[in-house]
Amino acid sequence: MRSSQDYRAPFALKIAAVLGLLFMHLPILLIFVYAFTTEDKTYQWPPPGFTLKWFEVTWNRPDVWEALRLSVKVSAISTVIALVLGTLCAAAVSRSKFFGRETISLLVILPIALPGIITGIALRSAFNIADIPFSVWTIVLGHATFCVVVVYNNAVARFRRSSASLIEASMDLGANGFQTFRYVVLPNIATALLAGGMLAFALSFDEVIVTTFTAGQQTTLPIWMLEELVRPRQRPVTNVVAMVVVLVTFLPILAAYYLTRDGDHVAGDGK
Amino acid sequence: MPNPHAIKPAGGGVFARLSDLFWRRPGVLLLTLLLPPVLWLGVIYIGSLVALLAQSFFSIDEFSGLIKYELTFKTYLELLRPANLDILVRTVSMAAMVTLAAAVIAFPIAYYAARYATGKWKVIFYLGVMLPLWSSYLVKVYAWKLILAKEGILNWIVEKLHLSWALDGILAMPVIGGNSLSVSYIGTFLVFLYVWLPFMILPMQASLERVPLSFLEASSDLGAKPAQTFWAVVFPLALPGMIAGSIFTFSLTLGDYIIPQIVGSSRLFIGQAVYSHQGTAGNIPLAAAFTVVPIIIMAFYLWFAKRKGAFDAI
Amino acid sequence: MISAVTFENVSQHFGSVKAVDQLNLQIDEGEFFAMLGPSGSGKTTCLRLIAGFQKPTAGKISIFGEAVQDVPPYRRNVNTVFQDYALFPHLTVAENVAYALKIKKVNKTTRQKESEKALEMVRLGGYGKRRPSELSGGQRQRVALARALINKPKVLLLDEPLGALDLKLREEMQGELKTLQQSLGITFVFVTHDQSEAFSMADRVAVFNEGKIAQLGTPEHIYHRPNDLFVASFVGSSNVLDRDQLNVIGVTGEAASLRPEAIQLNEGGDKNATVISKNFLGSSIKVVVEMDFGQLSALVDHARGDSIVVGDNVNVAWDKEALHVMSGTDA
Repeated sequence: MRSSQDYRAPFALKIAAVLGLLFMHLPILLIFVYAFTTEDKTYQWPPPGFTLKWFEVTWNRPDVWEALRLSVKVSAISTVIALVLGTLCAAAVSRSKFFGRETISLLVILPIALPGIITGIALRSAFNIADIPFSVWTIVLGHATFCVVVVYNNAVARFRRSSASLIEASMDLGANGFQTFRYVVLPNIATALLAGGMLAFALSFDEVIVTTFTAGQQTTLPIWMLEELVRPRQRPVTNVVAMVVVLVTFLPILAAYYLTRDGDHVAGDGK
Repeated sequence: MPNPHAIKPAGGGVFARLSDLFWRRPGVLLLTLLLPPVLWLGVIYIGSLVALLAQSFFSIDEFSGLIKYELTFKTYLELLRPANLDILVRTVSMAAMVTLAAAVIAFPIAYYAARYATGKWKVIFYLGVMLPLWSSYLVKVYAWKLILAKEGILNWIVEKLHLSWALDGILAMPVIGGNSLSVSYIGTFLVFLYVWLPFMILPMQASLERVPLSFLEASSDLGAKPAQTFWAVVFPLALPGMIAGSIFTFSLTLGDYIIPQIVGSSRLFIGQAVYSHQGTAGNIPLAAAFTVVPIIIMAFYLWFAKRKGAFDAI
Repeated sequence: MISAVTFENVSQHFGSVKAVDQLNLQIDEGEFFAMLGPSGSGKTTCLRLIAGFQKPTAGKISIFGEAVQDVPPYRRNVNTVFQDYALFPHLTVAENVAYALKIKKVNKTTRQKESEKALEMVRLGGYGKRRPSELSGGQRQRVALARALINKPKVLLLDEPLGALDLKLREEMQGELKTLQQSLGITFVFVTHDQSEAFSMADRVAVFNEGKIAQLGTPEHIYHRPNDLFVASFVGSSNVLDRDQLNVIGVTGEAASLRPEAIQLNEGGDKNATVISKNFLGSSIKVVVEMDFGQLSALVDHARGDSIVVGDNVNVAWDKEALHVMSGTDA
């Protein structure tokens, strides 16, 4: 009894696990079907017919392109800021056991641990108080704040895995702090940073709750979608946009997974 | 022949000098590293939070609609009005239900992935959780709008199975029911559950993976039946992960204002109340007071989670 | 002559822990110097202080007469072979070895030539294109050695250099390190907790205990003339006799050490001891005997040991000078 219990999963467990996975994936797959439906007034199932024409319609929509452009811009800038801040934090925390490093970890986690609406409304009222007009930068300010944590987590994990004596070895061989960072630290954490950066980009690209408070009249892609969700006007275009968004976010996630999984082999496999 | 000098002269240039300084005073290096993130997160972010919370101690003048900048607990008293209290209770119970249901559904997935999945299946399970976790929040909500629509797939399946009577029965129930799934609490609950479920699985799996197989063997070796082993060994060891996951499911449900707006009845949740008070009503003090509730709940929650060692599982 | 490394009243405190406490030490140029001691005795901290990875809390450290307390590691002409080798995983073996030259902005062709030369010196010619992860432990150790020596440092520091290698490889490397040190004429300072390693390679050994040097001297001196009980028991498994036991055999003193191999077990003569155990150790045999003042361990060869049986009564004797009476228990 013991050995069979240890090496083979109970049937019920397996079923429950697989059903759980299906529950998570079927709704997303459904969107793929709807992107091709000929029905444009309701969410009718099963679709009365299939067509590709909505892709063309969507392609020719300037408002979608405009929203996409803003989203990419915001995500790119936020990612860069998050990379810098997250790496600095991770380096500080893993370098030394200083008083208050727990506080730093909490500070980094807080923006995602607290409900997004709080971050959003806090920033908005701060902008009001400080009389800052809404712009790309007000959106970036919010996004970078909660993106720091993903970069930080990835970088801290990599710092923890790499030997502390590498830095000492580099200094021992004549490299000062900056040269050590350039030639040893950076190459060793590069893949972790790339992964963290991709996740940060995905997080920012998708964010809507904070953005509604910090965007003013500007429309990012998620805000465009939110408007469609609240007041559906062009269901077929929304279906297509939704499907494209799913595909576009999957790529960085897959890439980030392979980067962190093979982190040690990417640099280490010369054969 | 060894080099003639044991010490190389100090380099010129800013970097060389800075580098020397960092070595002589590691504290300066630490400060330099920490300054930008602490300025950003500690001053801008925390500063905004504090400014917001401070406003909850002001109140709004009922006649002019302007904010009176005098310290008062009046706004907090307003929270206790039956209508507002309803909102708080509704949101917190929804968050609790979602968290419980997520834990129940997440456990088999996390347990299977942590204990039994190997090789290819391990990757499938990992990505199978990661992809829904990271795919667009709005797209996920949208998918459920499609599913729950009157003409949508769920009603179609129910009809094909001749189970419409059962669905009607459920919808006829007080409180949780409604005209259709997309305007009922059940609908809201399903969407919340769906959207936050991956946040429960990952930490749970992480903590289950840290349960050494030998613990289970030791337990059954000592004569425990599988069910006893589960409750005495596996469950307590999985608990930190469960608590870590519940931080997410609970906090995310507390603060969300989009899901109940799109799928659900017209009765408000905290997020919606905050949104409408700060927006159209312009009542920032009341909106701020509303946000204090999830902050306090989450502060307790985080404190409790920390004591249970849940942070290691995040 | 200027000494290679000098410690003057050096202390290193970590909070309330005195890792190194008021230490004085001189290491001569061209010397193979060992720092021996149990973990936590301060030997590794001393090595890190020489390298510059730590700044002393107090005191003065000089390298070839120049004070270095305020000199960062990258400006010290001292190189280190790390315990875990600390090879850069993202660089090839050749790039690892040439790292110091790259920092010095030496051009690429010279770098390649020099690194190949250094690899040949440690008998790894042709391994330059590999990654450290593709090498065995012993090979990594040699790469670390080549990397540390490429700059021709004034002092080479080795932190438990052979600790991660298996016994056979360790013995082989001991010989190689010694030869290398003699041919290069560089001062080697190495840290170890293994007394046989220290004794087989070093010209002089410092035995560390609780942040201080318990004894400093040649291996022979330390082995035969331990200063105190700590040294006597840490350096090999010596018999230690206390004042009362010494009284019984008519010697006055606080304590004394008696090396197991100095004890003779005679068949004839006064049967003053009983054999209570016998252990086969390979080349020799360890015999524990009970005497009127207590137990003694003896190491004997096969010619004598093979015939001994537990329970035998034997005559135990030793040369007078083999019994080393120590000045005090805490000296």
